[in-house]
Amino acid sequence: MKLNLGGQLSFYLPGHPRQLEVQLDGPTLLSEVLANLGIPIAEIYLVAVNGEMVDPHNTLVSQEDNVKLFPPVDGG
Amino acid sequence: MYGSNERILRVNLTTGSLVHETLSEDFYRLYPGGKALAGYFLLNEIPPHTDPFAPENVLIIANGLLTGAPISTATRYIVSARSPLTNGYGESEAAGFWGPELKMAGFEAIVITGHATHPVYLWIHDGQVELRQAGHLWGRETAAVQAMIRQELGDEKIRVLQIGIAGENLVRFAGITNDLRHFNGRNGMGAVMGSKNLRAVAVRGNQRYQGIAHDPDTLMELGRKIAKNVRENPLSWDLQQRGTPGLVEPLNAGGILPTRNFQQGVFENVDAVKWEAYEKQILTARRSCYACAIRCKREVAIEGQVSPYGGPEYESVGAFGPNCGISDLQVIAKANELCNAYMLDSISTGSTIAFAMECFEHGLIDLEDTDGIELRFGNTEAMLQMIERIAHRQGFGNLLAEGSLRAARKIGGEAEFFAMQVKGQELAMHEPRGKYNVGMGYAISEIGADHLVVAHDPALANPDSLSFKNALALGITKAQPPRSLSDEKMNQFFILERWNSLEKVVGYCFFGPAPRSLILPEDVIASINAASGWNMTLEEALKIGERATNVARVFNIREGFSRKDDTLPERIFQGLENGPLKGVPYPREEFTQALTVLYILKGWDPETGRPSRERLEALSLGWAADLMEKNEA
Repeated sequence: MKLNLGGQLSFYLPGHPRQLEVQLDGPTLLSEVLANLGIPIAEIYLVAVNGEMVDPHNTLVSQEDNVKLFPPVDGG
Repeated sequence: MYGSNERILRVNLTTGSLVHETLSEDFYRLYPGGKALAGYFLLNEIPPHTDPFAPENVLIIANGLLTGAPISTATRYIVSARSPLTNGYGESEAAGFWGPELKMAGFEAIVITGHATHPVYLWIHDGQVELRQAGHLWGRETAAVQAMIRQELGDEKIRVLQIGIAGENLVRFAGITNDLRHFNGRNGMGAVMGSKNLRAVAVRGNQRYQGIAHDPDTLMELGRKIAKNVRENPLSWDLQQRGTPGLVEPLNAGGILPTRNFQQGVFENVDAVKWEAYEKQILTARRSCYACAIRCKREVAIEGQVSPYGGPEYESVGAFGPNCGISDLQVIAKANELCNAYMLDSISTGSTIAFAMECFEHGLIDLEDTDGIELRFGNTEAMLQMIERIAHRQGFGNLLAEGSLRAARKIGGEAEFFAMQVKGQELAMHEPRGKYNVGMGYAISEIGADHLVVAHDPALANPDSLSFKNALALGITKAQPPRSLSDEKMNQFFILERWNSLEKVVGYCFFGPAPRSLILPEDVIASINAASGWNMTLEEALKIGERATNVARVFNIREGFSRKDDTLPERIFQGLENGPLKGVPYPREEFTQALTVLYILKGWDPETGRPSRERLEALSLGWAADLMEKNEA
């Protein structure tokens, strides 16, 4: 699974990658994937899987999926 | 008194008089700088209904209590006057290095009245002040003027605050820059300065903030802790990494990236203007403001040349990019550079051009009106040409230099529908249809559409998030959806508005304190107390913020503003054309009800929006109530 980390969400991973490949054995609940990686779901504002907004708590993802995560952003 | 030089400088440009005035501690505790100090002088000293370009308009430049303290993000100063864009209370903040330098030179604020017969500039150095001729600087770009001032005064470390050609030409959204890279962009403060024939204020000082602080050791300790947190706190980490241009992609993903004059919320060419493209195509360096560890400023190269003006912030990328239908980052950076060389507000400039593009596409104006320029969305050359024309008030640019509302009224027909403004000031690049408190801030702000009235809604949508937990100390207890105007949301707005107003008083940047970023409320209060020696509570601090907001409100009431002016552009009450929020309007009826709820919380009359005498007196503003009533008698 291709995972893109927007804004400060890279902060939570070692080396602060903006993108990474996640190996999945089969369809997996996205919230579990994120929890295993150590990305706090409370800090995520938007989740898009293959361009569609989803709730990570009830979305299954597979190896071929493209997932984008964005935190809340503010100011300018 | 600690944390303050106790002195303001009064400049009368008509007579050339330069006078020091002493501030008392009792007064300063009520108005400890920035928005509060400026508002006090504005309301007391500008006669009602003064033409913003008349000598009687008063231009105030005011530091906050903490401006120049060794604390990340405590660098800001306010410029205030009656605004030529809104005809109301005018205000614009900036950071950088100039405010701290003024503090080191011995002054808290400068109150400028009158009109010089010839162009002049002010030279302030270690308590000494002189007015110098500026005829040779007039008509030149800002980079040249800064270099000339430094050369003639013989010191490369001089900090120069200045207007540009746009301010000289009284463009109603002309701004002010310091160090070429920091901007008091909004509300036309540069035009007021230009109307006074004042081109620049050059400053140099050798005092240290620590020398006037009550408890310099505690202040330094706080500064070190906050600087360390910048690297260890996710809320500031991305500002350090990407800076504000990092907002482009997340806002687009949420369907709230203003596109083609706020018609759409998703820009199809976002990949060409998002941070990764910025970083690859134009970024050359990361820069900072005084004593700030966040380093959110950017430096860029345009056509291979490093720009002396810094790189476009998110607002400029949004205003000259998606909102004008443009996806060429070189052109966006060039547009930003032109604005800074001529000193135009990039938000109002981009937004006014987007307005004109929509008018052109609807046939309300044609090639004959636009000097033969095909002013369509996506036309990069047309956009750059129009910036030139606005700054120099040439041809069609002379009309756009009046701002979108005045231009719309002149064009007629449905043009006013395309003017995305509140009280005459153009919306910043934040789409209220996805962030209802941002919309409420646009509507209720005294300066017209302003995006820095309260923390933006998504920051407080999740009760388990760091931002929300940091806001608990402010009294925010229930997370609220971004698209809600509930009573609880208005309660939240009322708290956040007072808190943000306090930031504008004492000199903190929006990107410092919680909930937006890393500095906890307790540390904000601790910094105020370490600087001043006061024993200020959060309650007193919020009251300072509320007092400053009410002074600005009374100024506008006196100028004839009322509830009818606290609204949003008609388009916002209609649905977006694309993206995740396609068809979603800002809900008009809920807005009307929420505004009433908010007025009641603020102690303002629900019918008129006028502050009650009772609330004003509770804020030690009986004098402002007297002024308001005297004007109505």
